[in-house]
Amino acid sequence: MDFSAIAQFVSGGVTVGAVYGLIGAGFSLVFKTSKVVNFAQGEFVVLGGLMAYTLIALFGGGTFSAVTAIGATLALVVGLAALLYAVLRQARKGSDEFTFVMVTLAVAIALRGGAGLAWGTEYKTFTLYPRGSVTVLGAVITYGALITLAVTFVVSVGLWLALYRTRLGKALRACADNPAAAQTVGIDPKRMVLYAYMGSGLLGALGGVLITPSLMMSYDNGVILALKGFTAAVVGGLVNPFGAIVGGVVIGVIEGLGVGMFSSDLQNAYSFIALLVVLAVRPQGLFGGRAELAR
Amino acid sequence: MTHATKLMNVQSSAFKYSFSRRRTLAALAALGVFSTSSVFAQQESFKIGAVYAVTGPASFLGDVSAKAVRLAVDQVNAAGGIKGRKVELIMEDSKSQETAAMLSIRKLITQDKVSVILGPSRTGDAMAAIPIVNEAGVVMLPPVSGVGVIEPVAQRKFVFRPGQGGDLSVGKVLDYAKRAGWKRMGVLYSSDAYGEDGRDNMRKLAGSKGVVIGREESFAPTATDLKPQLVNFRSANVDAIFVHGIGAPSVLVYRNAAELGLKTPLVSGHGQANSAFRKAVGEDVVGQPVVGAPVLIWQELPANHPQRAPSEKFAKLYQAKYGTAPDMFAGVAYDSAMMAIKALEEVGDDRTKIRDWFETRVKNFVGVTGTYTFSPTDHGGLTSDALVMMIATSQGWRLADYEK
Repeated sequence: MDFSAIAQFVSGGVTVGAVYGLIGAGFSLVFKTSKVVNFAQGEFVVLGGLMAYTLIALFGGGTFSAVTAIGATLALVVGLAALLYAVLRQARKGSDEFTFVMVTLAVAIALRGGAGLAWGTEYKTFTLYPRGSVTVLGAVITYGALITLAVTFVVSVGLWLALYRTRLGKALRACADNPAAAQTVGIDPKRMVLYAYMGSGLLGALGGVLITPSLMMSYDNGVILALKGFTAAVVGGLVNPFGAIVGGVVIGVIEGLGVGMFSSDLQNAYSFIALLVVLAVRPQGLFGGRAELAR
Repeated sequence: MTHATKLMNVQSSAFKYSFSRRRTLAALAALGVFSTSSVFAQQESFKIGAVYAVTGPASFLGDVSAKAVRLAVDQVNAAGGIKGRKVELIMEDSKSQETAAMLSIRKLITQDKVSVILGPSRTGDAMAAIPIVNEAGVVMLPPVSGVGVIEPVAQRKFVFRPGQGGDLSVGKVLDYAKRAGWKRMGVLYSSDAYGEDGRDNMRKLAGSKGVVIGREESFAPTATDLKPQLVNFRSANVDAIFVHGIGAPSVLVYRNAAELGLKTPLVSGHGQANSAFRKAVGEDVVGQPVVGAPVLIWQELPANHPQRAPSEKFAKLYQAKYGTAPDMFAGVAYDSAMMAIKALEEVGDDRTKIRDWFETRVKNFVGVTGTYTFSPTDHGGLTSDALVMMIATSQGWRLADYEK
């Protein structure tokens, strides 16, 4: 096993993991503010990819129209996420989190069926960046992978700034820590949860736009994407969006190394084994506080 | 994982609803047509069941199969049915899931009481359904490649496989390997029934053609990055890599190989002989050999090739109805429907008689896919004529020179 092969396994894992991380950060954002695991998160990714596929074809070539198409895609999915929360708010008073989780599951199935009818069952892909690659330490890293990593990094920084350097972020965190206390100082928890859903829609759609050019997208990819994203979020600590991104990279690298160095038969098993190990050793996740989990 | 299971279950019932509604609408439409005509007066119709992966990851092969058998049944009904009796096609979607395929087959047998079953689309689905059709005594015609669905014949009495076997496909690949001078090959297969069948056939047949398997690698049907496997092949110094898998990862194999600048040739089994693959893979496959079926390039077949005329006829019918050229899986499904129709015509709708008909009366049946001869010891019935070696061009495919 030469070094360049290991570098290849790791770099591939980091790239795939970054996308798992973006999806996981969406899970985490919603869970942090509402204690609900939103299983429609994977569908946000699928719709992001498929809508971008349609809009990019519709708007025609050129950088400007591509950027417009992606902007429109993100806006549509964010709107859809807001709509999902509007549906959830219709639940009767006293419904517990589990009811909400079931509703997100139902919405996910409806969205998947709708996507199948609208886009058909074939894999879709579009061109967003030129084909090509650079070689780092003997590992081939495509432009697509570099862009994915760059976007994930920018999003992480942006998310951190939004959460820790703005009034809105402060209100969101206050609401996550103690909704009742936050309400007494004039923060509307429902509004905060709405923002969290919109943020999760944005993260998911972005993930979809990033992976569709290199991996293709089918209407029914949402389940596996949601599972991997959820695993990333749990490994990183469900209440910490940055933990989710790191968790995604961790399971991506474990997958890449596992496939390359041991056996490719167990490709999907590696990340779930990693999940079991983390849950056994550190149930709050790599970056989750014990106190936050207990509440 | 319990969430995943829940997702699947709820998903399947949601789809069932939409499909049963669609079928009701179709039935209403059909009533409207046939109530005004007296062609099929009073007589009970013949019932053919079909189970294909119309949705899900294998939909690229199930969808075209469904279209092709619909074409066959419409054709026979337009010509007055079988001895004045209408043929009713009851279509089910297996959603590329073994459980759904089994449920559909049970429903076709017990509820719809069909005489014969076309499908299911995947080797794994067919394997799971074998005990059900054996118990009910209904012939099943899966358009798959797995050897396990027809062997051992004693336990597969009701299964006849209209699809080209994995052994035939691997045989074509090894033929090509000999011509290309490949001595040491890698095997890259999907970790499902189809992929493993390809691997097993390669293990069995490679030695006889003087080929050594240098390395084996697999990938999950949901794989997103095939570079680790390809890097391992590079360090194993193989002359070529045999790819046996379907769906998105089989496209990614070619894409990732191009990204890595891998010089090792890739050669695919007949799972890639379809337009969905060709469209998705784009430039990355150009110049590489892929095992295909006569129907895909009937224009280039020599005039005396037995499948030239039937392929041309079928391709034109299919094109006229659906506006696209048929895939290999369409041809296989069409052949199975035509054989089922012929069986009903000759022996009626008795399930046992139909089984015996398939075993003893299908002799040199010239189909779109190949020339079928079933026997009590061979439920596969095709020879290597049913496959051709193709080379991918920037537009589509061409026939390998030595096949002409």
